[in-house]
Amino acid sequence: MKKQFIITGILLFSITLFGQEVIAHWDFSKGKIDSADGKFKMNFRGNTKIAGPEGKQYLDVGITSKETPEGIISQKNYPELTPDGAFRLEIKARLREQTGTKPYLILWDTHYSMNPKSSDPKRKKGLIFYLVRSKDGKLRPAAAFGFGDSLDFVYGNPVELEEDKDFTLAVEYDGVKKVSFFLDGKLNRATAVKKGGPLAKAAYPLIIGDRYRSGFNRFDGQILEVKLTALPSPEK
Amino acid sequence: MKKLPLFIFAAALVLSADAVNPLKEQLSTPEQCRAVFNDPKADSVLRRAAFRKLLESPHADAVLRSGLKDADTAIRSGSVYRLFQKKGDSAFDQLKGAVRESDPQTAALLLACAQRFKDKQKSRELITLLSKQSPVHEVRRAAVRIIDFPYYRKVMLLRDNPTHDYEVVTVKSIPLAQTGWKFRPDPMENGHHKSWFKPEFNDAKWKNISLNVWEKQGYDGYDGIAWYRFRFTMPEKMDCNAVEIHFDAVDESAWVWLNGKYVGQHDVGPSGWNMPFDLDITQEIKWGGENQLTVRVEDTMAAGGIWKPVKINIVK
Repeated sequence: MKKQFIITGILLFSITLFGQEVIAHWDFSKGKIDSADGKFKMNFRGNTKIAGPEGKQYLDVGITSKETPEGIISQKNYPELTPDGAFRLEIKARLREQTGTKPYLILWDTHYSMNPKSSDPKRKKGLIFYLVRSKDGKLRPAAAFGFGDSLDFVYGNPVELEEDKDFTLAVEYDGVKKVSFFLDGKLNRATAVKKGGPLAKAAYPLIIGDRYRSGFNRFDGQILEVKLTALPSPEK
Repeated sequence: MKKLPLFIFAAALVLSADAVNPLKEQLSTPEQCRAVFNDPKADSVLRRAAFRKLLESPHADAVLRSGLKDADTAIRSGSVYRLFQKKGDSAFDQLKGAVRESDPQTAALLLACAQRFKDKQKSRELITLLSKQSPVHEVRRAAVRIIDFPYYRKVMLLRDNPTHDYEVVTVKSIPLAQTGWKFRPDPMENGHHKSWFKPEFNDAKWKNISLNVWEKQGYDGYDGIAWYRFRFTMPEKMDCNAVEIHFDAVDESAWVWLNGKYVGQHDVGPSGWNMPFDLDITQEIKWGGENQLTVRVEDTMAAGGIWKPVKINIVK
């Protein structure tokens, strides 16, 4: 009887995982900024550093009141970091007390511009995953999807995030149109992009914790873990 | 109707004064005036005279626009005054372009004009821009006071009191602890709207900080406003004429409340980072009980914060 339970469990677990593949995983608790498998090499920017006690370290996104870059940047543009189809991007982080004035707190950026009217096609590729701070202090999950010829912005529902408390925020895209935001494993909002289809491969390197260039919008806090997973597309 | 400050009239009088005769000869035609005005190396008195004459031409608007960017502060201030006098609220866009004016008198004139816009939204917008972007510290502060931060008290210490014609002696000096202060950055500059200076405000979630620059305590890179809160106990009432709070140094500006009441400021701009200062707290101090001190600090460059000791001086 016990064996049957274990086999059933393994089967269910395998089905759940079937088709899922971790593309990239950063676990800052070990004090390293490269991805866990060493494949994606990163560099620090600005005042950003690894901080915290051994085994519980985190990426401490630097504080700056100037228009200067923070976060970490990949040493080159890795095409794998723009998934071909469905994917989930989940980020474990925590806010510090507010030290910046910018409304955007960017967690992941591979496409730089947030201007949908930009004439530069390079700026309509890749993905930005971020939080938008409103005047009442609430934060709204958001993502900008670059499809090459268009930039689609989608938003989750506003949430209250406590300072110094860990949260896990995720965005899931089915590779067709559907986008879902999750906070601590619970669905925050299901929505859809207008254009849909696969993302256009990013033209810029990855930044974790800020934006690529000019008009910097750093994440105001600490990042513990980042995981990008390819998901089976709905057709499969 | 409010009257414009005296210096505006002074500027206007200087600019409207008729030039001396030799100048008139050199500026008898509009072409001559334009040539002189467009020559940055021309004699400054002659250029100002040319500027005044050109203001009577049909191209006065263009002259004023160009005058706002002129190297001569008299022409810049004259342009601000004339533009506002001529166009009123319609001068908004042009005056907005002059918010980074570095000449203190011209910047103050700009602020005076901004206060007199009939359209209060435009008035507020221009004053807000000046409060953030004016390179002139006094103008920036004056603009902030007008729109959002009315806290100001003239600092008057016992030693400044002309009726106290005796030597001022410190009877007792009570140093405040270096540790146990509560701290919170205020990048949106709205802590005063959230009552962060009130004694009953709950600061339990604020970070603990010591008296040292905040850059060394986890806030490296932060420039802007931050608040400190601290509780201390005073002994039973002593024989004295005044009680003063003494700061050895705050980098760089500070606004201080004691028990929820505003007691004064140290606000001389970046040069104030290492200056000791005192504020009178005779009326606000609670003898024989707990006192709650709040300090709002602004740092605009490099290190910031209450970085040297603070003490309560009982003086006689």
